[in-house]
Amino acid sequence: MNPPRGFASAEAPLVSFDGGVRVRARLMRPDRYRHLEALGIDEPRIVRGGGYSYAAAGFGKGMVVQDARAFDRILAFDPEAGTVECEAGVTLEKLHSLLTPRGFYLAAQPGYPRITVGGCVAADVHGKNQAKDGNFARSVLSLRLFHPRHGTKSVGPGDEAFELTLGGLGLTGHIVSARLRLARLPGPLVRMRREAIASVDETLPRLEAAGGRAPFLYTWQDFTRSGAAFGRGFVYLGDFATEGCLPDPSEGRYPAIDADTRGRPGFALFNRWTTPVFNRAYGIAQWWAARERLLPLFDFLFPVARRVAYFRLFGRRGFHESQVLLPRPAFDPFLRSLRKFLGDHQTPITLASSKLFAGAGRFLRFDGEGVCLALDFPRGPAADRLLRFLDDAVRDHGGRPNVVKDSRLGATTVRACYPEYDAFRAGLRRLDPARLYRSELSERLEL
Amino acid sequence: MTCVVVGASSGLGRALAEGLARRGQALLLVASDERDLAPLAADLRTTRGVAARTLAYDAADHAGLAAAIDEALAKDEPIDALLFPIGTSDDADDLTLPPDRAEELLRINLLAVTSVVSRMLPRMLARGRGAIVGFGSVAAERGRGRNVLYAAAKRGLTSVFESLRHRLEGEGIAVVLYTLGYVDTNLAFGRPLPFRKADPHRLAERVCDDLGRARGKRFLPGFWRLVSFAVRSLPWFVYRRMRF
Repeated sequence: MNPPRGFASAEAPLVSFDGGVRVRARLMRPDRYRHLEALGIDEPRIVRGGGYSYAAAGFGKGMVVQDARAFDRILAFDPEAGTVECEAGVTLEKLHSLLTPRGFYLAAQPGYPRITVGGCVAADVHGKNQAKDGNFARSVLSLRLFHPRHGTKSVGPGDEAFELTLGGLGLTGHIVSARLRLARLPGPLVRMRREAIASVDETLPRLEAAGGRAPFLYTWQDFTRSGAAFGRGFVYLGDFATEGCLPDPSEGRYPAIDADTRGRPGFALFNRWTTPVFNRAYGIAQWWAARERLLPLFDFLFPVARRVAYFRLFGRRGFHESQVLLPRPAFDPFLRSLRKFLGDHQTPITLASSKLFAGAGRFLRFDGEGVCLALDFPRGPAADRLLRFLDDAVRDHGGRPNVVKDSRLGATTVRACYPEYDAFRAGLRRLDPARLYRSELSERLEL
Repeated sequence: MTCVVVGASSGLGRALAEGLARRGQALLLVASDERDLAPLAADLRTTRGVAARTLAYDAADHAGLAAAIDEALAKDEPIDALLFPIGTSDDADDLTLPPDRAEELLRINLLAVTSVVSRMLPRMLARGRGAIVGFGSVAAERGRGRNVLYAAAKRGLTSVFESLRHRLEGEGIAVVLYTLGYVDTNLAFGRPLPFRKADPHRLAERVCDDLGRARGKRFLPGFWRLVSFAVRSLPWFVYRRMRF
């Protein structure tokens, strides 16, 4: 093949953020629009943003990977209408630094500043305020979508291509740009309050009691404790502070992490002996810290920027995250069976966190009514056992797993948990019978 | 007051546009494809609040390019700087290129610069201030079996900038030619190279910081001066064996 002018690609090793999938793929780093069209019309491909999806959503074996990060320009900002239009490679950080001084923010944001808008659309991400503000899809007004067979199209609510692209895992085409609805920023600071949770049984009542009081709401719980103390931890309530003006000195200065560098140094510090110690130490540190704190918005929205060390502690081998959404009535029964399983099969849970969800799921979007629980744990035989248990337990309790968090989730589980799995699959084929946009994730889920 | 960036849509050119916008400079961004220019200009207007205009023109038509730039600027619009982060190379540039493509390499790499400079010179001389910034390549320091016409054009550029500096001595205009090594752009992506590729944003910061002060021939980053000296000093019986 004779590559067109200015088109370069390279074989590159790519790894999912959780360290679970490693693939060598042809990587392209386009920085002009004509490069996007330069790729042969029959080449299977996938667009990659920041590469922070825990699962391998942005690459796959045999697919050309198109790194979209050079397309990171803000096209229009309309303070009257409260909208912004930007290319999909724009990072949350870039939007944050434009919008915060002008009194706006994006209502639903995941926890790391270098995640791209395209990634947020494709994974239909959420933040700590899901029950109040919903998923990212709620703020997407329209998209421009490129597909070599159709060219670039503008799509909006009502268009099938639009609905399939929200949470569509990048499989409908190349998200070129997005027009987003902005939320008014009540203040540049977030007041965070911490309340203790004595045991796992208090999780749902405490979340529900706090729900009306704070837009941002989540728990941190210790699942390595046993007996009555299982799930002891804190619930965090966050709300915008209108008074006080702490500047945002930390912006843009934080240790960077990406999927390639996450596993350095190569060794893991989290295991069955150290994990309870880490959890206890974190809990004690939280007790010591002030019960109420004022945080710059950046630090509150992007806590991962300050905690990259946590991900490094898993080493090259990596970790699993299992994030599941359960109907409220099923949450306590689910926790009871999980607690029993963990009592019988010790697993080093490094993080357990829950939050409330309100919304309606469509296709494979991680959205709906209920309670969301996220569990992190290092890879290994104990993890495999727990994951097998979780697959069954989530399905049996009428829940759904988040497909972009778990890089090993199987098609059977996803098909069983997502009633619109078939509709999504069929929709992708209606849009493009040749199914040009594919990833390791889409192959694994048989999409 | 406006800076004209010829070759602004990607790589070093885009980094220069962003660096200048951060310093509050009004810009005329020139490149071949409006689809790349329009988003960049919109971004610089929105995030930096600068006036950024675009001109899409194929630099291979160098005379037309010069006229189009002249037209895009207001009649008495003062020019702060002309920057030429423009260039194109070809994998087949080993004396097997068809003549029209060979000519195109010379047009884009050399004549586009000279034509635009000639056309803009009266404006700049009338003002008696400003800067003309060219970008050469270490590939032109000594001829090789590859990048033949690219290197010839870039070596030509060195001569042109020497002449320009001589011609403009005492006129208040800073003439500088930066000789670049490997730059981490789409063009160099995926190629195994013997030296580290420079981040275009860091190069652009240096150029913007020194705009109006830097004169003559500069190497960027500086270590290329040593590499260049070494390559030029190699005796033939060694150089002929080198494969790079």
